Amino acid sequence: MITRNERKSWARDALRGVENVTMPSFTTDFRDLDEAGIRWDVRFAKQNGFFSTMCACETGLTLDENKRFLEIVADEAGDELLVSFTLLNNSFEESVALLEHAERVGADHALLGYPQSFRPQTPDDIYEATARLAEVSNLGLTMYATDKFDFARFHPSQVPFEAYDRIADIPNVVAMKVGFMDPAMTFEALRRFNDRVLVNVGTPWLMGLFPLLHREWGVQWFGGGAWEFWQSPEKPYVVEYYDLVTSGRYQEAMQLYFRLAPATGMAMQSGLGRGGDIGMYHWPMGKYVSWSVGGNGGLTRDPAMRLAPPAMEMRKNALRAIGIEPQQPDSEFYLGRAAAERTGALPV
Amino acid sequence: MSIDKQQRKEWAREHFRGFENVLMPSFTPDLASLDEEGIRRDVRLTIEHGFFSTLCSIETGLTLDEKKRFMEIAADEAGDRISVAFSLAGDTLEENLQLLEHAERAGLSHALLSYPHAFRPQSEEEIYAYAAELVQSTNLGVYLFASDKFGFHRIHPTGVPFGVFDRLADEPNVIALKLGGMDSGLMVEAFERWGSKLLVCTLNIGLFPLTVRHFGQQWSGAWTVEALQTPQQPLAVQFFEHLREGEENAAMEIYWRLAPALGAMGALMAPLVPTGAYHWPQLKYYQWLGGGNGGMTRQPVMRLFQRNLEMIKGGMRAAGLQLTEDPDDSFFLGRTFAAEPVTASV
Repeated sequence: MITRNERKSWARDALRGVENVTMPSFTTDFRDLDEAGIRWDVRFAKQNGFFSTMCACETGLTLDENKRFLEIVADEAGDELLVSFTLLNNSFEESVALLEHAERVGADHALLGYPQSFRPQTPDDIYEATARLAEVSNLGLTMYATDKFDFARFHPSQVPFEAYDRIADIPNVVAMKVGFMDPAMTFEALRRFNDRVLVNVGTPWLMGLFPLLHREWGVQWFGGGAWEFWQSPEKPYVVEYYDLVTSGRYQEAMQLYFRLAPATGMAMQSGLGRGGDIGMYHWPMGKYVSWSVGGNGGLTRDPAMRLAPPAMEMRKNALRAIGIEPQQPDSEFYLGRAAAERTGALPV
Repeated sequence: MSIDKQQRKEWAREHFRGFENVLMPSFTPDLASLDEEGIRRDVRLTIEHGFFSTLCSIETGLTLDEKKRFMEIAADEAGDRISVAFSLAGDTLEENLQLLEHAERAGLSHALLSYPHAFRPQSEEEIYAYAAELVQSTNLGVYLFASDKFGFHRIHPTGVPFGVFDRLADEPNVIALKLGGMDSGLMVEAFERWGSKLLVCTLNIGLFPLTVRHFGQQWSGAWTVEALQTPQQPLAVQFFEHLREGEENAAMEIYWRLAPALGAMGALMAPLVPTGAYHWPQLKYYQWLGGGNGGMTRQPVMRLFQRNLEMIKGGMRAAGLQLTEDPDDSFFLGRTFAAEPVTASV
């Protein structure tokens, strides 16, 4: 077992590579988790060459289901894949329970988050709430630079640097996910925290900065993201790009990177994945992105955004533009692959 | 002051420091003629902002004669105080050659390479031939535009003709490169690939901390920097100066102060990027808020809505910028004419 005091050095060795997101799969009536579907996606993450997968827990699960979700993922991952999860829960009590459970079932790290009802009055409130989470766990924790927490009153960048500066000193706080498209935030995170935590490429929009960030700042991992947008198990372009950059093959890396440009352009223009300035994700689209290159698929529970055919077509066109033929037929997506296999028939 | 093309790279290294803004034409209220006084006012205001250069955007609905006159007025008002550039956005190669010749006579110093809408090259060679003819015809400095708006995707998946730029970078009077678009990989590649021959710049101000530190970026243009400052509160200019002096703490303090203005600017401008066109009235409004002439531009023109104006002012005021107290309605006439009675033809 790795203790919290060993986590920073653990992270320097372990957090290397590209981490994707595993979203839960459900039975078609949404009443239960679809264990086979979840296991399918974990194997899918391995096939893609990801080093870690982040369970998205803010997808409409009960606490018990979230525990079960983590258990299944950790079991299927075994020693071949690290497992992390989001601490974006309804309350701190849930987060504590999940942290304790995750450690028992063999998860490795977690993304720090705060409940919507958390309305801190000072940066110290943020530090203290975070420190309490860290104390209950030996897992590695990742600070989250995001606009989701409504912390703009502490700093105009929306990131409470004063609090995060103290949080970075906590022994099992090991990394920082930078979820802003603005490269200035990545710079600020590196400048302030890189001596203590592993700042990552936390959004696909900054993937192109990786050669610079790796060379100049030692950045070594891509944090939980829908990297499947640009790759499949047969053509794992993002993972290959990561490998080329980290092995110093800059020109080949950029050649590959630019081949992905048509898909990137489409993703940027359509705003796929996130429904605007709302602090949540389009889970059905996330699952469709994954399904179209071999993931399990299936819809997610309400509250959920609608998956519209034009957006699905755009996703498929983005794949074709980078030489990946999307999976067929869409009707299978709605059921999920594992369920389709179980029933032996596709829905009409 | 005429500078031979052989000295242009050296001249640019000395001279290109800080920001170049965009000068848009001002018109009489009926939009029938150029408003010379309005144009001169905007040149003076550019100087007050602390920019080193201004770029005349000629793709704003002007006749060829008006384009020439616009550049003449700008250069005359600028004198030796700042340099004046223009966009090589004429409709044809011939027109652009004429404009370059005229610009040199009128005292402009450099131009931004662009390509006509109807230019559909089949090969890199064709793009090179087009660009080289322009570049070699003039003593002006020319800077390249790495943008996906020209439809060169058959040449390279980014739409930027890398091989052509490799060759053009060796021309003595090709001095710099402007990075349009927001692709982070293209930004890094441009500095890595052309940084030793050209003064590469990004317009993405959030990238400056990295590009100044690691690539020595010394200028940025042409864009409407007035969205982030006024002459009395030149925050963007100060931000950039601090970075270039290695004062990152001071720079980042200003940067985060600008966050609300940047947020509003991004929300309004980002949807326009894929159109490859500019919202001229919106950009003029930014300038007007800090004392610029303002006024509408000719059709075809994007619409300016009050909700946009509120968003722009809200973002800038939240950053602590003091803006004009004049009513928004007077923007639509421009400062030259705002004090006069509105005529029936308006």
